Amino acid sequence: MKYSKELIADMYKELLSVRMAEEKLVEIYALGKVPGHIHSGVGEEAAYVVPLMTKQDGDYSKFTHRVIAATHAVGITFNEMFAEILGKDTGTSHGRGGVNHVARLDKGIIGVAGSLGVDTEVAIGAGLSAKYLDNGRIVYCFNGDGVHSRGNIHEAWNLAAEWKLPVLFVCDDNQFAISANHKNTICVPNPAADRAVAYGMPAKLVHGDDPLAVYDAAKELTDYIREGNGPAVLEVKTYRWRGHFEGDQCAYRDKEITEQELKKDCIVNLEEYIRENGVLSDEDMELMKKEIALELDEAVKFAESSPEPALDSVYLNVY
Amino acid sequence: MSVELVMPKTGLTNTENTLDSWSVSEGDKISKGQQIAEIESEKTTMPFESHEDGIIHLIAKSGDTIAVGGVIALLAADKAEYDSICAGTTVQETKVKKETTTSTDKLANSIELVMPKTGLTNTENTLDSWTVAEGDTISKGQQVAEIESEKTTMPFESHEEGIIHLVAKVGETIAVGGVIALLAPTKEDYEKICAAGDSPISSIKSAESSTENNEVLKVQTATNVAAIPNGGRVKASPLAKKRAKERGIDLQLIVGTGPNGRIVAKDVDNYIPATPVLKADTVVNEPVHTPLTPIRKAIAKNMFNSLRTMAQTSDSVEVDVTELMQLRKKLVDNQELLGTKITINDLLSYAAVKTVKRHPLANASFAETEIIEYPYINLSMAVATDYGLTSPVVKNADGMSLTELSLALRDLTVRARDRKLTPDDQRDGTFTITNMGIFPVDNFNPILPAPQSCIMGFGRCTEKPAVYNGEICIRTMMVLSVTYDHRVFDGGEIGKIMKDMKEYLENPVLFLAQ
Amino acid sequence: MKQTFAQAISSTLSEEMRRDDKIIVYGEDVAEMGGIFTATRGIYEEFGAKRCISTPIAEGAIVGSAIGAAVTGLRPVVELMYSDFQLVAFNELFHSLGKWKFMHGEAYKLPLVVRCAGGYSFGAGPEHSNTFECLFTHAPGLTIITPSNVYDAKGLLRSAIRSDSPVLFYEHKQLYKTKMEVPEEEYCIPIGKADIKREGKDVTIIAVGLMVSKALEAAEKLEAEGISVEVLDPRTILPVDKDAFFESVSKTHRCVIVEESNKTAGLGAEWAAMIQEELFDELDAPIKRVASLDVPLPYNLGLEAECVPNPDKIIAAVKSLF
Repeated sequence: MKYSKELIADMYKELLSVRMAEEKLVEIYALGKVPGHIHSGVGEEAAYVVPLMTKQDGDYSKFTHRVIAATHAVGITFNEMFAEILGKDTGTSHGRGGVNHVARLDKGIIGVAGSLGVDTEVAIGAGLSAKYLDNGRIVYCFNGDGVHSRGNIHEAWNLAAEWKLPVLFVCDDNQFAISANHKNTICVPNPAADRAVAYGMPAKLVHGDDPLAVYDAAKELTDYIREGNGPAVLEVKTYRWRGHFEGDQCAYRDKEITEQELKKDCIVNLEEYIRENGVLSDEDMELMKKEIALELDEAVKFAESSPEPALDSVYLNVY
Repeated sequence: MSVELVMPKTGLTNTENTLDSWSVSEGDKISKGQQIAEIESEKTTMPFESHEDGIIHLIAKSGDTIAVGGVIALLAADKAEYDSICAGTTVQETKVKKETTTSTDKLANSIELVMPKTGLTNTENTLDSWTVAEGDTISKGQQVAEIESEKTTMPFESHEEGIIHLVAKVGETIAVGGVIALLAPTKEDYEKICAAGDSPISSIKSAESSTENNEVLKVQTATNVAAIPNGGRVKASPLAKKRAKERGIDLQLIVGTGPNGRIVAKDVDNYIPATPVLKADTVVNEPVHTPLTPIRKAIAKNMFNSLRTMAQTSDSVEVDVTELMQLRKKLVDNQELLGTKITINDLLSYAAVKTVKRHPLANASFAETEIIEYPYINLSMAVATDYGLTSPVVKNADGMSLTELSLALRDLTVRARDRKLTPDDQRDGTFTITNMGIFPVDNFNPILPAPQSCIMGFGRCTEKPAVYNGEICIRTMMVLSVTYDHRVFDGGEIGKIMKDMKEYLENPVLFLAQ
Repeated sequence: MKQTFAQAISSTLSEEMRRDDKIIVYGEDVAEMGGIFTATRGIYEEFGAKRCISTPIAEGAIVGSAIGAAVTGLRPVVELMYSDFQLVAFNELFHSLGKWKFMHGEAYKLPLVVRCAGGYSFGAGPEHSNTFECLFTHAPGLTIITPSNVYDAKGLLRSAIRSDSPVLFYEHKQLYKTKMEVPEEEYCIPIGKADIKREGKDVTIIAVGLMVSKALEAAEKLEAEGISVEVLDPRTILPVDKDAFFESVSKTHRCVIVEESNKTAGLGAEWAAMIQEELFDELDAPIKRVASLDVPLPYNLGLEAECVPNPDKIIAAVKSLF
């Protein structure tokens, strides 16, 4: 399949942005600047960024707890993202939601539930309204592998499939829930792709270190969805490079396997393609990295210098 | 948790009592309500009852003087607890002088004399006057001031000896617990105190005092000394309390008709206020108008009528009561045998009854055309309470032994103070005694309670120089005052009565023989 | 016109759906069947399958999808059949419904209503008889409404549908067939306002849902014995009309709270605490609660009757305050 240089360049820049933002997140967390826990998604960017390259205006997206920097792909600025992560009043929900709930409705982000799985039910509701209002919008619904054991996922799948809702269920299978390897906890090797058939949904299985394969699969499935055929499932195989949360020593994992997996890098692979096909020069790529690095530094500064929410605003947005 | 049995408060100004004797032994199994000791106050002796079941560990010793609130015994729930108490794993300290020293003494060696609580709801009193001078050496029990509460004026006695440094000023209103004077054990300490200058009067929050008082009163319930219901706590709904407070009504005066005897709002609404409590910030310069309580009205009416309608006059004589005192001591030493601790008042009353027996006109009434003599002596005794003067009556006192009379008088006194006198308790008196001995009063003219013909009054017993067996020595003397209705009998008869009484009192063996 | 409680629900829904085409109704058996309690009868016939959908048995997805739909432009009114089944979607209701706006920002308005039928109904058993306002009262962000009669149900449902906040709407099974005279024209009853169902001066009975009629029955009997009872119906359970509570109890100085939920940690526990905090000095008696016994509601009719409040229990509680 031929890809336009623009597409590849955009894909690369976004992957880079998300990768570097995720790395920045780990960095500032280590410096003790972030309240609560973060769930680093370095290495899994392609599962989020690439399907979203098929997004059209108005489409909805529901993210999850990992690779939250991927919200950048739908228009969240680094400033408001990091401000929310630092709990400041200038964050997307004024510091009330924090790192797990970075969202903006005007960018089509549905939101994230603290108990994962529930938000998949919420996401299909966006599909319901899109279908009802006939506005052609679809929903990109991202989840990790672990949550696919929760009942809510299955309720949502059944309802979406039965009502033929325009939802792409993307499963980022990084192979670990927290410490639970999906091999020991999920009854099928591919938690989403293998089970989609039970719900009458088409499914595709791709590898997250091969961004173009992810793109092709996503394009095919979203075309299918946009034609009104109902929901579809895209499973992207990745590996969780770091712990479930920062500080998780991953003693439950085989270090050698991890080392091997860390070599499967979607950005490195895309860079290879970029060079081979002359999409961008090395200088271009370097420049991109510098720009993004600067943007991220600015964002952290912005966030750090932003005000805390006022203490007497504790009732804001409760009702 | 072991239960503490503490020294109860036996009267308004009572600060300490003596543990006369234990009625049980160490380690005995005690049941609730059982008498475990006899305690003696300045005025009378009374039984002390346990308010709980348990195995008793005695702490105070016979003869110990312990401050009100001090622990005198502990009750263990079971043997194991008892053993641990005895092993010393439970440490209880006898609280000595706790209620009058509420903050640590300001200077190394001074004792605080603080404003006492004169009633359940009392929060402050006025220092009316000092009866001693700055720098005087004070002995324990000596009156140092007169204090005035909303209801009455009373003497304030020092509970320690020492050189006194006056802190409060005359006319000053001080919260209960506030320091009114300091006592220095030595001249040096006294000078130190004076040099330090007056520190601000420490004033304990009423809440603390009332908590303390509640604890004390709980014990009183237990020992039946002053059994205010519910262990001293008034059960009233919040609304009732609020309304009572707004209208200045003492909840103690209200009978509750709500569930479990709770005072509810309508009880307060239906109560006809007797006396509104003077507000704390009443301006001193303006006259104070206090509506009459029913008791005050009654007293006023009776006293006035008595003086108006009877030909009253008084005689008095000084009596040597030294031997009487010695007799008393002997009787007290044998109180176990006697079953009661005889007081001076008991002896005076008994002697009076014997005297009156010999002089029936003193036990009579004038009735227009005749004089009525009664075949029995119903002895009336004047008892001052914080709600007024009462005169409870011991019926057929002439048929009683000294010990019986002692018990009867004590019972009436306690019930009078607890407002537990029945109407029957207070009528049909035929002869009255009134004892002012706790005050610095010698002779006085008691007013006859109509329709009685004679009332005997006893002044204080003081040591003074007197002639005895031809020599001047120190004897204990007391003035006997008698008021009589001259319509019934004349000076000569009264003279005989006083002669007999004097004879009896100076030779107590005589009236004991009667 | 006279309407039953069930008719009041369905007619109000229909009227609102005619007014605003963003309103859709779904839940189990709401369409062709018209709801197992007939509360959505006629809606499917009038508005069709697009706007009235019978769902699979999936309470979580029903509530969750309603949230997603509400956030993105629709105004769903979903039904959870039995209030007991709310617990299947407890997470969706307690966390997501209550907190979505708080967590994500003010743009995330949730104009949706979750209806359910609760209450004992003569042998429905321990898991089909609950009234769960007390559980969700603990959830910040939710509005909870429990109408006690046909008139209130109509006016409150309309307000709930028109509100931009998420509402839990509790209907009582035993009320569905009750009839009452109601206005022909549309009316709204304000959310958050209690109603004095009967004026009195000696004691305030705060009663919820079906218990309002029990309280009124008790009040009649007590009147004959010289006790004047004020019956207060909160109508909105959360946020509750505190001012109305305080005004009434300030007047009567006594309060009994009657609810169908179990006594422990029920609504009464919260309201008694709230009232005594504010009005301690006005109380002439402790605040008593009449509630169901702390047991799962038994199937046996005799036992069931033993467990739930009734006018006699209410009368005894009132009398104990005097």
